[in-house]
Amino acid sequence: MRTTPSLRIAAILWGAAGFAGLWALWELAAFGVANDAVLPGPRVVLWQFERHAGGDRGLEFLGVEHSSYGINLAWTVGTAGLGWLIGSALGVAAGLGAARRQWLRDVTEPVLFVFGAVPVLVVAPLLLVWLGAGPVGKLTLVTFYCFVVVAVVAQSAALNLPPAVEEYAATLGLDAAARFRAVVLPAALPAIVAVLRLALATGISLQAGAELLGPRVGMGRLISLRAQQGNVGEVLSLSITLGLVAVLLDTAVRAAVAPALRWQG
Amino acid sequence: MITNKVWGVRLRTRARGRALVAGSLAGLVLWQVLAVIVGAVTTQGAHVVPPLPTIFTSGITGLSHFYKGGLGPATTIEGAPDSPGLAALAVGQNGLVTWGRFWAGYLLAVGLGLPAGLLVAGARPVRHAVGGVAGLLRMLPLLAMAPLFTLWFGATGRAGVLFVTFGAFWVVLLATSNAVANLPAHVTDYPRTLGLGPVRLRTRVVLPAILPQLRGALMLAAGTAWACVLASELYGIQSGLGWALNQTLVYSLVDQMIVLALLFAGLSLASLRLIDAVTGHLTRWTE
Repeated sequence: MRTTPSLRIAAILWGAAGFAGLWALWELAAFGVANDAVLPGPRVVLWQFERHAGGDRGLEFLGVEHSSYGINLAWTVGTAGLGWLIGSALGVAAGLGAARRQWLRDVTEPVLFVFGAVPVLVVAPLLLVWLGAGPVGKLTLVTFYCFVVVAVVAQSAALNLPPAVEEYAATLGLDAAARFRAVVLPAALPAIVAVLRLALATGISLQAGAELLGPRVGMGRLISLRAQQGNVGEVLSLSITLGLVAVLLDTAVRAAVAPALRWQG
Repeated sequence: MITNKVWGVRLRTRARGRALVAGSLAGLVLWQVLAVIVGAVTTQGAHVVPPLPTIFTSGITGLSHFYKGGLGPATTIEGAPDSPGLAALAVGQNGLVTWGRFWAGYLLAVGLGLPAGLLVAGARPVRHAVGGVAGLLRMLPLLAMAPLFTLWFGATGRAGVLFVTFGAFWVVLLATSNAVANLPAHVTDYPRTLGLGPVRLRTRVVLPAILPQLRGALMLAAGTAWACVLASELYGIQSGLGWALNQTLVYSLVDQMIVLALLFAGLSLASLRLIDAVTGHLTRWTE
């Protein structure tokens, strides 16, 4: 069903009302708690963000290489983004390939079966020991996570296409490669796009989560230090900043793939 | 019957049990070969990539240190030596704690998320208002927020359970409200003409109708819940398999780290199988 412009405007307005409601509710809760150390209101969090976004000597004293939020944000999102690109590309290729070639399915099945159900964070300590606290370990973690989750969904999306559709394409004279390009790939694309968006958001979260375990740079490291200081406001400010960047990236991905999904209506 | 073949070429692949077994065996062999090579070329190799016999001996008995007492035998701090028995007690003690946190948080998330999703889906404006907020909250770096819950609720099991609930709740809420929005109108229109009230309509008609759509989301929420349990135990809480995993990281005990990761994976897989079986049973009418 297509949405009319008036329905779309109403949706945006109600969405804005939702955020206003959240702000008011949060402000009210903070007023009720009456202790900024436990639950600072949104204005306090915003003020703390403005105060420390440019840098904080205190954090540098605690071993952070660059205390500016911008640099740490770029580091975390950049590393996660690179891992997402590599892992997703490999995942799409492996998932679609495994749906078409039995030998590839046999090879990938054990990895996808286990890590499709187990949180990848469980291997973070191992990677930390093997690859150190630098970016390589985190990059490997995010790449591996994106590979697994994208491959599982791409494989399942390609397998869910009713065989009759492909059989019909074959009767029209399309060979295997042409059927894959013209039938299987477009049919699997909506599910693949959905999982790419999920993988990007979760990849950033995973990167920040892994950074809690000890590097000298990254938003996760800043969150960890602020948590050790008991600074709830800064932890919230850093988390929300990372969340907003994830929303922006998600919007960019959605816009980028929109032309390829126009056939859905 | 659909042959799944076009001119003799198979269109679909299938999962084969023997591939899983062969893959697992290949993984073990590869690990052992790697352990031998790394052990031969580096001085600390046996600690970095421990050979399989080390993992199956000291990797298991070493877990005795995580037994905190209270079940009869003395702890290693009290002078007891490492043993398979103490290791089993340690795994039982910490595994049960992690298992309990997962289920408490997950069931709470489902218990709150389902009715909240049904309520939200009831009116389009509310769906738009809550949907945007839930979408943003879902994008927050969940795993990095584990310390926040420790700050609010202390390094306690309660912090872990509430963190799990927070993580899985949004998944269930969004999936429920989307599933209701996707229901064809006649599914609810016809029972309304028979005089069904709003509560009975949601519990007797809408909930069973959306359950098949919710199966995937409930599995996804369970996966999120396991990641949250692990994150909360890794970053602050002083009990559970995640806490033990963090301790092995602090002392670089890779053999024990691998055993704990395998145990965690086993628990996670078992719970997902259970949820799949239960939701499959509840939606058997669709088959």
